[in-house]
Amino acid sequence: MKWGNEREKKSRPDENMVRRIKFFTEFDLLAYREYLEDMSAKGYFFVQRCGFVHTFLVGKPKRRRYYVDLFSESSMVGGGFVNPETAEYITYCRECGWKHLDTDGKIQFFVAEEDDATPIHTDPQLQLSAIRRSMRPWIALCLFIILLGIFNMRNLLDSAWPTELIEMANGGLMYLVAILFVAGMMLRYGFFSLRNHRRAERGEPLQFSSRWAVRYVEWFVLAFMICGIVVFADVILQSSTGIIALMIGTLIMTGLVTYGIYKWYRRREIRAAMKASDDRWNEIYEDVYTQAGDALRTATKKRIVLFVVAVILVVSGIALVGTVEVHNINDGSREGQLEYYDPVNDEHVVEYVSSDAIPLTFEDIGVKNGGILPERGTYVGSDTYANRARSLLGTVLDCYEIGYSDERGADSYIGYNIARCRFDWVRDRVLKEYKNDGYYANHGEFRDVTKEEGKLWNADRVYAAADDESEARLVIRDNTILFIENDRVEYTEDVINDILEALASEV
Amino acid sequence: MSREKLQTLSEPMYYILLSLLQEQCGVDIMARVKEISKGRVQVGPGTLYALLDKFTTGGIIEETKVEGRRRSYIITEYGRELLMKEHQRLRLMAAEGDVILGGDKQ
Repeated sequence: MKWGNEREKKSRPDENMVRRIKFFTEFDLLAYREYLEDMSAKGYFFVQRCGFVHTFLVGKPKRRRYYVDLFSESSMVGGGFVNPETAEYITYCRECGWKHLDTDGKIQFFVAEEDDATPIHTDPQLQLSAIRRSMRPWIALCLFIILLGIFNMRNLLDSAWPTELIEMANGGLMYLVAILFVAGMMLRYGFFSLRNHRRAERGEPLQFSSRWAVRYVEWFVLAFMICGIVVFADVILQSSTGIIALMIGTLIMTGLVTYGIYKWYRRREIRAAMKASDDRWNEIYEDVYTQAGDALRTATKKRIVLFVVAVILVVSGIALVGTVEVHNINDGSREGQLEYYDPVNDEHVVEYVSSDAIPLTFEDIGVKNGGILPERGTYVGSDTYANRARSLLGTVLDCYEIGYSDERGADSYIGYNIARCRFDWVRDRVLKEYKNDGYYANHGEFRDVTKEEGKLWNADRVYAAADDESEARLVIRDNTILFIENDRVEYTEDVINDILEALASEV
Repeated sequence: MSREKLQTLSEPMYYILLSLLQEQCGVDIMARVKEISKGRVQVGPGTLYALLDKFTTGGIIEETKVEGRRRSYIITEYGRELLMKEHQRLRLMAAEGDVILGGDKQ
C-alpha cells in the first residue's frame, strides 16, 4: 500500500481521470447503460460527458448500475437557475434510488444507490415518445440535406456533373458524406421506431440494439466523421473556397464558441444550484476513490482552457486562409477559355472561365501574385469542373514559355515551359495535361527514364518522348515541372548541363 | 397532450389518479401506487414526471403547493370525472367478461 500512496502524491489529480470517445445515439440507451456498467466493472467510473468525450474516474473495479435517460434540455436552465421541474424530476429519481451524475444536452446520467432501485421508465410508450422527441433535430437535419439535394437536382442530373469522385468539387463530396451519414442514422432510427411501435402499444419493454451491434455503428460514425474532417481540411488546404467558406467557417466557429460558453455557464449554474460541493463525486463514489473532487475540478479547468485555445487557433486559421484567399482572387483573377460541344443545343461553345468560378486560385496553380499572365489558356473538352480547372492550368503552361535558340545554328532550338505548383495534386494534373495534350503528344508517348537520366537532371522523375525530328523531356523536381523539347539530340551529361545553365540564365 | 388523448387511461395513469384523490407529492404518489396495487404496479420516476406534466397540462390534476423541490398535486373535478368514467368502463368490461368467461358472480 505504501507504494500506492507515494504514487498518489506524485501524480497530478487529473491523471486519475481517463477519457473515452464514444458515439451513442438517443435510441441506443440500453447499449449506453451496458457500456457504463462494463466500464465500472473494469474500474472506470463514469463522471461526466462533454459531447462525445466521456470522463471516468479510475478506482477499484466494482459493479454499478447506471441509467441513461432523456430529459428536455430546455428546462435545465431557466432565468439563471435550475428549473424547479428538473430539480423535481431529479428528486423523484433520487427517492427511487438513482443518484444524478451528469447532464449533457438532453441526456441524463444516473447511478443506482440501491440494488432494487425502480427503473426510471416503467412506461414503454412514454419512453418511446421521449426518444422520438429527441430525434427531431436529426430529422430536421435530414430534411435539410434532402432539400439541399432537391434544390441542386439540376446539377445532379446534368451530364456535366462529375461522375468520378476525383472530379467532384469538395462541396459535392461533403454533400455525399453528409447524406450517407444521415441516411445511415435515419435507417437505424426507422428500424428502431418501427420495431418498437407495436411493442410500446402492447406495454412491452422497448427493444434496443445490443452493445455489440452498437459497437459496429461506432466504427461507422467514426469513419464518416474522419471523412468529413478530411474533406473539410481538403477544402481549407487547397484554398478552393472563397468568401463563402470564410463566412460559413466563421459562423460555425461563432456557434461553437457561443455553445462552449453557454455549456460552461450552464454546468456552473447547475452545479451551483444543485449545491454540488467539491466532494460531490466523493459522495457518490466514496467507496472507489477519495480524491475525485480535486481531480474533477482540475480536469474541468484544463478542458476549458484547451477548448478556448483550440477555438482561437481554428478561428485564426480559418480567418487567415480566408484573408489570403480573398486577396489572391482580387489580385490575380484571370480568365481561362474552355471550348466544348453542347449536344443539347448542337453548338460549339467557347466560354471564359474565371478563377473565381472554379475551386482553384492562381497561387494554387503556381503563379505568384503579379506574375505575367497571358489573357487566357484554352482547353477543349466537356464542361466539367475538372476541365474548367484544366483551362486555367493551360494558362500556366503558356505563361513561362520562352523561345530559345542555341549556338548550334538557326535551325536548332530548345523550347521549354516551366510550371510551378504549390501542391502535388496540381502538379500531377499539369503533368497529365502535358502527357495528354495533342501538341506535346506529337513527340510520341512519354516513357519513364528516371533511372537513366534522373541523376543527370538532378530530378525526382524524368519522362522522355521522341519522334523523327525532335526529342522532349518532362523533368519533375519538387513541385516544378520542366518541359523541354528540341532537335533530335542525345541527352548526354554535357548537353543536359548546357540546357540547365541556359535555363538558369533565362528564368 | 390534448384532452381527447387522455380519454382512455393506461394502467400507470389510472393508479396515479387514484392516489391523487388525496393531495400527494411525487414521491408519495409512487409509494401510494405501489401500496394500492399491492406492489403489482410500479411507476418509475421518469414515467411519473412525464405523466404529472401531461395531467397538469390537460387540467386533470393541479399543483397545490411547492416545498423546496417537492411539489404536491391533487386531482381536479375534470380529472375525477375522467377517473370515474374509466372506472365505470373497467367495471363494465369486467362484468361483460364475467358473462362470457365466468366470474365470481356466476
